Amino acid sequence: MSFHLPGDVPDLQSLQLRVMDHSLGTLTPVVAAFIPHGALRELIRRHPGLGGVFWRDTLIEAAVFREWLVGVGRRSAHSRIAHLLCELVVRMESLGLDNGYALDLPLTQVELGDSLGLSSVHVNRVLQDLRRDGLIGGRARQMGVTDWPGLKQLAEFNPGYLHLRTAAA
Amino acid sequence: MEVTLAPVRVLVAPEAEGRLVFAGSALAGVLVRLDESYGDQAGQWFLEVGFGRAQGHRHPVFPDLDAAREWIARRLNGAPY
Repeated sequence: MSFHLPGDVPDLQSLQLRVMDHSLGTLTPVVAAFIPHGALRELIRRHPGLGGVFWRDTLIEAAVFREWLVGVGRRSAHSRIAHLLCELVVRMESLGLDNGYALDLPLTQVELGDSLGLSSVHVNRVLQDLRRDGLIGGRARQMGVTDWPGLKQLAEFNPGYLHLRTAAA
Repeated sequence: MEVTLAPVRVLVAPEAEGRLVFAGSALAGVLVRLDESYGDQAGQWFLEVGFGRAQGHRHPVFPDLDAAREWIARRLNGAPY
């Protein structure tokens, strides 16, 4: 599983791989642009630097997958959820979409659990614990991070794998 | 194999009503009743932990104790993982 934010190109894979081995869905109303493969190939032929940019993008995506694998395999439920929240805050900030550590998460607890390999009951408990410990505030779909250093520490969050250059990172 | 339930308090936060699940005389799992803080799932029973064939990769949630007992009995009697 992965979450994509505005501006992401969520299916660069199909430019090189004949079979799409994943599916995409929307959690909110979105504006999506479809770029024909032929047009993209022509663009890369004319501007070879773009090929490098897309390669870099897929490498960063792979780095995110690696980090998620570590999370599912090694992190506690608390640390796993904290890590996802930290990642989303930093990615939103890099897009200029952050709102003072507020997270407008259009996710149900079931979806959140599915993405992290946790039951919705565990997600519910962990979110209650994080609230009780003052790390996050707000309600289900409009969470806010109230203790950024604390949340980062719980998550053991090192944003290096996102390869961004922003303040929170 | 007969599956029986015994009341117990379980130290999830906050402390919750639960049931020890026995298969004969052996402990097969622990069920916890979800309280109001679980929204739509309030009042349902969560398989906190299952042992042996009763362990689930996904922790199932049951509408009532009969459903939980039936599911666990099916698993213990050889239903696929």
